[in-house]
Amino acid sequence: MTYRRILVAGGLSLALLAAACHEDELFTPLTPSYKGGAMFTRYVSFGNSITAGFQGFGLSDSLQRLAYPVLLARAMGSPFYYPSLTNPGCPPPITFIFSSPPTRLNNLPATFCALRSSNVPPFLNNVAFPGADILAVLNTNYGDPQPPASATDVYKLFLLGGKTELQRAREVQPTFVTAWLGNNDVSGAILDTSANAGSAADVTPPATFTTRFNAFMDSLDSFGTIQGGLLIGVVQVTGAPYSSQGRAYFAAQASIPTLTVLPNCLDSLVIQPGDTARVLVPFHFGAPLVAQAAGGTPTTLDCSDTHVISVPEVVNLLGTVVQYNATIAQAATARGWAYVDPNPALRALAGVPGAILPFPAFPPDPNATAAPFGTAVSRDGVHPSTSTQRLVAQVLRDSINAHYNAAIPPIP
Amino acid sequence: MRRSVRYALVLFAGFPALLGAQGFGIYEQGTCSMGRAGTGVAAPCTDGSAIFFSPAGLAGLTGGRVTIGVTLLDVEGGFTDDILQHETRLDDPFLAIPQVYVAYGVTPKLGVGIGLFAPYGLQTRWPLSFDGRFSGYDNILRSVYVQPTVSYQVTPWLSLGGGLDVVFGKVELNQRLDLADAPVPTALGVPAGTLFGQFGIAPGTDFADTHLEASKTTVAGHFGALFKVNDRLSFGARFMTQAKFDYSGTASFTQVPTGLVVPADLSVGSLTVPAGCPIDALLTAPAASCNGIGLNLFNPSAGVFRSQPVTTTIKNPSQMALGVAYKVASGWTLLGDYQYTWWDSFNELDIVFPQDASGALSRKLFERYDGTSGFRFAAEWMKDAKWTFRGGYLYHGGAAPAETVTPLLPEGNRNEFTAGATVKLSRGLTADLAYQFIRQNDRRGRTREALFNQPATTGMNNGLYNFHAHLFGVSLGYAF
Repeated sequence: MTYRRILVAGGLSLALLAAACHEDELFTPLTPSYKGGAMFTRYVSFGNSITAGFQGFGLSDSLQRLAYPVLLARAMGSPFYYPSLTNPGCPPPITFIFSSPPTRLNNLPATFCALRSSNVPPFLNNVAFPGADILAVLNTNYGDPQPPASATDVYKLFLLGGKTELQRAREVQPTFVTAWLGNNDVSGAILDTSANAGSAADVTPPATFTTRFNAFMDSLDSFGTIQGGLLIGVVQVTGAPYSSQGRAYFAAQASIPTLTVLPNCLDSLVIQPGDTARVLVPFHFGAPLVAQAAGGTPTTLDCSDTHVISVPEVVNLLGTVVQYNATIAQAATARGWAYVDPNPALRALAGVPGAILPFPAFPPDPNATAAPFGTAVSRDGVHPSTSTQRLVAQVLRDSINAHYNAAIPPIP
Repeated sequence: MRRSVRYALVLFAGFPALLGAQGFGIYEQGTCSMGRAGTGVAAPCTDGSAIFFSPAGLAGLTGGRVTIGVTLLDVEGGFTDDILQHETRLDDPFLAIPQVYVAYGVTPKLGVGIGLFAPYGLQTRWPLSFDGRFSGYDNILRSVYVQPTVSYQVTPWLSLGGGLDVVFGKVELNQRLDLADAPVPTALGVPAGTLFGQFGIAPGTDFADTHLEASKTTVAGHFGALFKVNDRLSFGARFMTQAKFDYSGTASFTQVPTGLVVPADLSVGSLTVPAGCPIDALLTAPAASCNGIGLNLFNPSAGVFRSQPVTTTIKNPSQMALGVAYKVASGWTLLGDYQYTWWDSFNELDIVFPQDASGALSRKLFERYDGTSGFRFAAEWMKDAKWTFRGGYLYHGGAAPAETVTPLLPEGNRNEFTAGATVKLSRGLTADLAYQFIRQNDRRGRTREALFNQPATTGMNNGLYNFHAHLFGVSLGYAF
C-alpha cells in the first residue's frame, strides 16, 4: 500500500511540476539588453516631414526607411513600424528640380500617389506626417480650430488614418518618445508662393506656439507610460538653401549677362558677431528668373518684391525660432528629458565643402543634378538628405546616451 | 503581417476552432466520471453515464437509474500581445453543461438507456477592445447529443453496446470587420484588391458588426465493448463516429461608425472624394458631402453587407477510447484510459455565401488540425457503503497547429487534475460532487485571420494565450 501511495504521489508531483512550468520564453524578447535599454522598449517619434523621411518633396518606402527615427530605432533594437508608402511614392520624389514642373521619379506627376503598402502594420511608431504644425498635431482634421487647408493634409489620412499623431501614438503606449515639432510653424514663410513670403502671417506666434506645445506635452504626460524623451529644437529655416541669400543671386549676375540683380539684394543686418540676417530669395521665385535670364531674356531681380523675404522678416523668423526653442527646452527641462538644438550641428554642416550649396551656384556644380543644394540637403532644398538624416540619428543617439546614461549601440 | 483582404473573410473562421476544441471539447459528461479524470471505459460509473463513457457498460445493470447532473465551467484566460505586453482577459460567463441519463436493466444480460449530453460546446467572449474581435468576440457552439443505447452481455466476459446519436448543432458567431482590411470596390476605378488600409485607414477601424447563426441536426453512432478478464481486471473500448453538419444559416451586418472624415480632396481612380466627406457616408448611400459618391455597402437589398444566407460543412470528429480497470484490495480501483480524437478531419473549410455575386464574402479556410491523444489515470476508493472517493489526472495534446491558435480557440496541451465523491443519501438516492482544474500550457497565437484563401503561418502569431479553468460537477441519481 505504501509503495502504491508513493507511486501515486510521485506521479502527481511530476504532473504538477509540468503544469507549473511557465513558458515565459514564448514571448518575443522585447527589452533591449544594453544598459538602460528598458526605456526604449516602445519608441514613438513625433514630427513632420523631416521625421517622416520626406526628401525631394516626395515620400516613399525607400525614403521612409532612411529617416532618422527608423535608424535610431534600429540602433535601439526596438520594434518600429512606419506607414510605408509604396514606391515610387506619394508623390514620387523630385529627381530634377530645374525643370518646370520639376521632374519626379519615373516622370510621374506631383499628384501621383502609389498609396500605402498592403502590408498594413498593426500600429505606428513613426507618427510624423509632412505638413504637421503644432496645431495639426493636436487637432483632428474635423475639430476646431483648424490649420489652413494644405496639400499635405492628405497625409493625415494616408499616414495616420485620419487621426492625430497623439491618437496614433497613444495606441503604442510608448516608453520613450522623440518630438521634432515646430518647423512647419515657421517654414511656411519661406515656402509661401504667394506675394507674401516671409510674412508674419505665415508664422505661428511664439505665445500661441508655447500654448499649443505645452498642450502637446500635457497630452504626452497623460499617456502614463513614457519613461523618457528627447525634444528637438526648431531648425533655423532661413538656413535652408531653398531660400538662398540675395548675395548669391547678386554674384550670379556676373555669369549671366542678361540677369540684373539690384543692390537691395545685398541688404543685411548684423545681429551679433558672426550672425548676420540677409535678404532671402525663395527658390520658387528666384529660379524662374534665373532660367529666364539664362534663356537670353533680360531679367531683373528686385529684392523689394514681396516674394522676397526681407531682412526684417528674416530677423523675425530667426527670433521666432529662438523663442520656440526656449519653449521646447523648458518643456524638456521640466520633465527631465533630453533636449537637442539641431542648429549648431547644421551650422557646422554648412561649413563642410559641398554640404550645403547656395542657389544659383556659379561656377555650376557638377553635382547639381544629384545634389543641387549640396550633399546635406535633398533635391528640394528644404529637407535633409540621407546623410543628414543619418547625422541627426547619430546626434540624437549620442544625446540620449549621455542624458540617460544609456548605451544605445551606434547607428547601423 | 498582411491579413485578410476581403470583407468577411473570417466570418466562419471560428467554426473549426469552436469544434476543434480538444480543450473546449467537454468530456465531463458525468460527475462521477469527472472525478475519475474521465476514465471508465473499462469500468463505467453506475450512474448511467456509461451511455457516453462505455456503451457496452449498460449490460448487467440491475433495475433502473436516473441521473441528472450539471457541470459548471469557470473559464479564465487571456491574451498578452508581444509588443505592448497588454493582457486582454476573456469575458466568459459561467457556463453550465447539463447531462441526463436514464438506464434500465431489462434482463441480467440486456441493458437499455437514453442519454442527453453535450460533448462539444463552448462560449468564448472577448471584450470589444480586443484586437481579436475581428476573428470573433462572442462565439457560441452547442452540440447536444441524444443517444438511445442498447447493451448486451454476449458472454460472461464480453459485452457489446451501441447507440444512435441524434445531434442538435447550433453555432453563433459575432465578429467585427476592419475597414483597413476591406477592399475598395473596383467601381471606384482602383485596381482589384486595393484595400482601404492603403489609403491610410488604421488597423482596428471597426466599420461593421456581423452576426451569424446557423443550426443543423445530424446523426452519428456510438459503439463499445467491455471485456472482463476476471473479477478484478477488465478492458473496454468505445468509438463515436463523426457527426457531419451541413450548416445553413443567416449572416447579418450592422454598420459601425468610424467617425473618420476625408481630410483633403482625395483622388480615387477617376473620382475625387472631397475634403470633409465622412467616411461613414462614403460607405453607405451617395451623399452630397461626398460629391454624390457612395458605395452602398449596407444597402439592404443590393449591398454587399445585406442579410443573406451562408452555408458550410463542419464535422465533429470521431473519437475512440481504450481503457483498463483493475480492482485492488480494500475497495481500491485503478483506472487508465487512452483517447484519440480524429481532429485531423478539420483540414479545410469552405464558407459559401451563395447570394453574394461579388465573391467578396465566400472563402476557404485552412485549419489543418492534428489528431490528438489523451491519457487519463484515476484511482477510486469505496470507503464504505455510503462514501466513495476518487481522484485523477489527465493530459492531452492540442488539436490546433501552431499557426491556428486564435481567439476562437486558444487551445494547447493541458494537464488536468480531478477529485470527486459519491455519497449515498438514502436507499435509492445518491449525490455526486466533483472538481476539476484545467491548466493549459501558455501558447503563442494570433489575433487576426490570414490572407484571403491563404493558409496562416506562425509568422502571424503576435502574442501569448493563457488559459485555465475550474469545473464543478454535481448530480443526483436515483435507483429504482
